[in-house]
This record gives sequence, C-alpha cells and structure tokens, in this order.
Amino acid sequence: MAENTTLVAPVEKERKNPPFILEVIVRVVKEKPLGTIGGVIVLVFFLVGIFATWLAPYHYTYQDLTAILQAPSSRFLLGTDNLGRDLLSRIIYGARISMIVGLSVPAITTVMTLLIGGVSGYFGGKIDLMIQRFVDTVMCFPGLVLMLTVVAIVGPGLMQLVLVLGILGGLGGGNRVVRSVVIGIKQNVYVEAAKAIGASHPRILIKHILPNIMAIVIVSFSMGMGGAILAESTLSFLGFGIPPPFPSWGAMLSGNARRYMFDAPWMAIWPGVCLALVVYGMNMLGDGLRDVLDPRLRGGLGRYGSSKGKKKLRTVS
Amino acid sequence: MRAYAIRRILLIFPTLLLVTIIVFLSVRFIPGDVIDMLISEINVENTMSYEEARDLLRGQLGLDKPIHVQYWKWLTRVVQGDLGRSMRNDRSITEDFLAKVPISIELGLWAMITGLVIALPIGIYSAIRQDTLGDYIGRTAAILMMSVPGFWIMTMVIVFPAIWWGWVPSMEYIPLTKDPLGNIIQFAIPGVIMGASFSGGLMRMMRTLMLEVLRQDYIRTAWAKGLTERLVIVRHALKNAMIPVVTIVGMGLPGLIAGAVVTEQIFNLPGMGRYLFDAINRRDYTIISAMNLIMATLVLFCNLAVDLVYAWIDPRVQYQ
Repeated sequence: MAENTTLVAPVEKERKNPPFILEVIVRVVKEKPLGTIGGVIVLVFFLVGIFATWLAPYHYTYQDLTAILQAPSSRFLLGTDNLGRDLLSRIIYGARISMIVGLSVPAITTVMTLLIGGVSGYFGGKIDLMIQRFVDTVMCFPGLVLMLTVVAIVGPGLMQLVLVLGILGGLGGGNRVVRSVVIGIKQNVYVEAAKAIGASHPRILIKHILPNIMAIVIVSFSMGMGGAILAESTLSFLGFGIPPPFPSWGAMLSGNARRYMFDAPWMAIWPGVCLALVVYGMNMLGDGLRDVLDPRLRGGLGRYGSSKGKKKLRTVS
Repeated sequence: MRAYAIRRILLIFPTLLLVTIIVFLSVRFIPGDVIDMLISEINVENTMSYEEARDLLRGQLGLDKPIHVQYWKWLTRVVQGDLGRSMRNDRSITEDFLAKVPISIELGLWAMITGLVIALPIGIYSAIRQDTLGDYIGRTAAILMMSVPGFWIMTMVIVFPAIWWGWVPSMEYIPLTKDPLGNIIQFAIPGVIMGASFSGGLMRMMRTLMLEVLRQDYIRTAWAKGLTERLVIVRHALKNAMIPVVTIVGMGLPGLIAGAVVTEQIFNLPGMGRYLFDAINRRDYTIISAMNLIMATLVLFCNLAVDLVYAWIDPRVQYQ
C-alpha cells in the first residue's frame, strides 16, 4: 500500500504537470467567453509593456517645450502634458510599470500565502493559533491605511512598493483560504500514507499537498493582479508610490498635472481608461479561471469571503 | 449563544494587545534620517544644541525611557482617552480627532447606503434570472464597478463639469448646521462614487447568497405550494439571503468611514482619512500611530459586533 503510493504519485505528476496550465487555458477559451476577452486584454497590455521601447513614439522623459498642453494631433496622438511630454508614450511605458506590479506583487503574495497558510493549516495547534492571532491583527488595519503607513516608513520607489504590497497582501486574509484547504487535504489517506512511510514534513507539504492546491494558487494569483495594480495606482496617485518621472498611470492623474486638467482634459482621460481596462480584464480573467478551476469558490466573496464570511456560509448551509 | 458571546468577546483581547504593541513599536521604526530631519526642524531657530534638541524630541516621542515603561505609560494614557499630542503643533490628538469623526461618518454612511441601494436589487435580480442577458449585464457591471478606480472617476467629476458648465463642487467644507442643503450636496457626490465602487463586491456577494438560498428545499416547497414568485422571493428567499449581508455591512463600514483617504483628499473634506494623510505627509508620527490604533480598534469592534449580531439573528448557526 505504502509502496504503491510512492510509485504511483511521481509518475502521475510528471504526466499531469505540463499540460495542466494548457488544459486550463483551453477550457477558459472554450467555456468562458468573458474570461477569454479579459485574457486577451491582459495579454495585449502585457505585450505593450514588453515592447514599450519600440511602440512608444518618444521616450517617456522626452520634452518638447514648444508643445506644452497640446490637444491630440497627428504628431501627439493623445496630446501632451504640462511638461510637453507625449501622453501616448507615457501611457505605453506606464503599461510596463503596471505589468511589473501586476505580476510581481501577486507572486510575492502567493508565496507568502502558501508559506503562512500552509504551515498554519498543516501543523495546527499552537502554531496555528499564534499565526492566526497575528493575521487577525494585521487584518484589523484598513488596507490603504496600512499601505500608506508602511510606505511612509520604507520610502518611495518601485522595488519598495512591490515588496510592501506583496508582503502586506501575504499577511492579510489570503492565507486563510490556503489554511482551510490544507486542513481539508491533510486528512486524506495519501497524506497519512506518506507520513507512515516516514516522509518529512517539507516533503509532504511540497510533494503531496502543494499539487492539490495549485488551483487555488492560480486563482488567487490571477485575482490578485487587478488589486495590485489598483493599489499601486492609488498610492502613486497620493504621491506615495512610484516617484516621477516614471510614468505610473496613477501618478499621471495626480500632483501638478491636476492643475492643468481644466485646460487639457485629455490628460485626465487616458491613464484612467487604461487602468480601468486592464483591471477589468484581469478581474474577468480571474473570474473565468476560478469558475473553471474551483467550483467551490464560485461566486466571489471578495475580501470578506476569505475568512469569517465564508466560514459562516458553510455552517449555514 | 451566551457561551459563544463570552468566548468571542474574550477573543478580541489578544488581538487588541497585539494591535497596541504593533502600533507602539511602529514609532520606533522611524528611520534615523527622519529623526535628524525632525531635530533640525525643532531646532529651526538654532536656540538649542543638537543634543538638547534630540533630548527634547526623544522626550516628546517618549523614547527616553526603557521600552516596557514607555509602553505601559502610553497604554494607560490611551485607555484613558488621551492619544497624546501632535509632534508638529502640540495640539491634542484626541480633540482634533473627535472633530473629524462626524465628517467621516457622514461620508461613510453615504457610501454604504448608495452601495446597498445599487447592489441589492441588481444582485437579487441577477440571481433570480441566472444566466439570462440581464444576469450577464449585472455581473459585468459588478466587475466594472470593482475595476474602475474611484480616484479617476472623482477626477473626471471635478474636471468635466467645470469645463462644460463651469460648475465645480465646493472645495470648502460646509458644516451641516450652517447650510444643510449645501452640506448634503457636498457629501453626496464623493459618497455616491465611493458607494458605487463598494457596490461591485456587494453585488456579487448578494447574487451568490441568493443563488445558494434558491436551491434550498424550503424554496421548492414554497413553489410547490403555488405561491407567486414575488412571495417566494421576498418572503422566503430574501429573508434568509439577507442575513450574511449584515456581515458585509458591518465589515465594510469601518473601511468606508476610516479608509476614505483618497476621497477626502480629492474633495478636500477634513475627515479622519485626510487627518492621517496630512500626518503622513508631514511625518507626524504621534498622529500616525494614534490614527492607526483608532482605525484598527474600530475594525476590531465592528467585527465583534457583526459576529454577535449574526449569532443572534441566525439561530441555525451552531457554535461548538
């Protein structure tokens, strides 16, 4: 029995792993038209971010002082800002920043969520109790307030921002979802079997439990992308995010620019449209992925669902 | 229920203790260069030596005593309602904070009510007409509400009416007692925009809850009795689906009241969020830690209230 599981498990994993992502993508495209549209939007912005250097007509710091606050024209397709910079170019470069934030923040969050939630759920007992009290405490601070305070202490910059958003996200409610799923999984016979043949805790966690929560990992990653970009743009808007001259979409709507918007309304429109579009795409994609991957999570309880709300729902039904 | 209530109330103490420790310690994480900057600002007229200025600042921040003594002193003062004084202008934080509370509450209520008014009908409709065109439109709208950044909509609301009609929302705070109508108009615009953002998640939640309830046996029984759709939905489904909504309302409210940093900033409303934001900008660490403490405590007690109300209104919930 014990030998069987060790023999079967690796073979199955090798065969399953590579096509898993592909299979998910095919299913989303086939079954979820809205999710596919979202995916296409995200892909387009992602490519724009990668190839910004070639796509943008000017560099994001290029100033034409003879063309300040110009309305959209054939030379400057979206017009220029108060420093004579081409808005289209800045928005294209802004896509790069948004994509960096949108990918790296959820990556850090996911790793931390897995570590904290996994350890908490797997070991249980006193460790779980202590970790969960700490998570409770972090969740007491309203998100934006906590981010602002920490960024104010750490200082501005892309690196700092990504780290702060990622780590705070990981300490927050997301690890509760991982925890509750791990508690469910560890009661399975195969985990018991692995224990019986003397597998170490890290081995059980990585080889036996992790593959079973991949669905949740993918879903929470994709759901985190939009939130990360919104958080970054909000902080940049408030002047605590990415410092100038880097063209963050949030920062393009704030500071000095606001004074000139009444004369140059085009400055106010496009960064917001891009933000809304890319976050919308990410949320739609996340929704589609969730429906395909994890029917139990269907319905989206937002941030309330991760801890108390969901626990209650289960007791109710 | 009573045992549960007592247990739940006791559970907030360890969290509250951790909150106070974190807030207290955060003042000690102020980077050294900030301390130097503060010292030079205190000593702007060069009346003191560097050491004198540093000692004065350390005394103000309470950094001149052993850490557990400081913590205890700070905690006993906070429990008595004294949040300390601003590092910048020596004003009492408790007094300043209390003046901001009504503004924040008014804004938060606007947002919450708008959120509910938008989200509940659409969420319910989406559920009872699942997978129809209306449902798709409702769901797409919900995701859209969650995706469009509030600060952008607020910017547009300020910029475009000004260009088209020369109309700008008031940027001076109008007290309710002076000009009730002006006050209501002033709060309605930011409040409704905040509420629209909030309604996205709420709408999805309402839909899920309603779908769950609609699959229950007692709904089938109600249909089998030959009740009209109206009665089935309003009297049987809605009553039960609304219970968890209490959770969202209770948990969302502190965020809407205390977390309106962006809104208060854009519309120049002197509420709690603005107070904190100004403090962060001026690096007034005594205010920052006091406001963090207040907001965390507010969230903690709202969560407690939600859990207790929930246990009280839903007798099916069983607590071991």
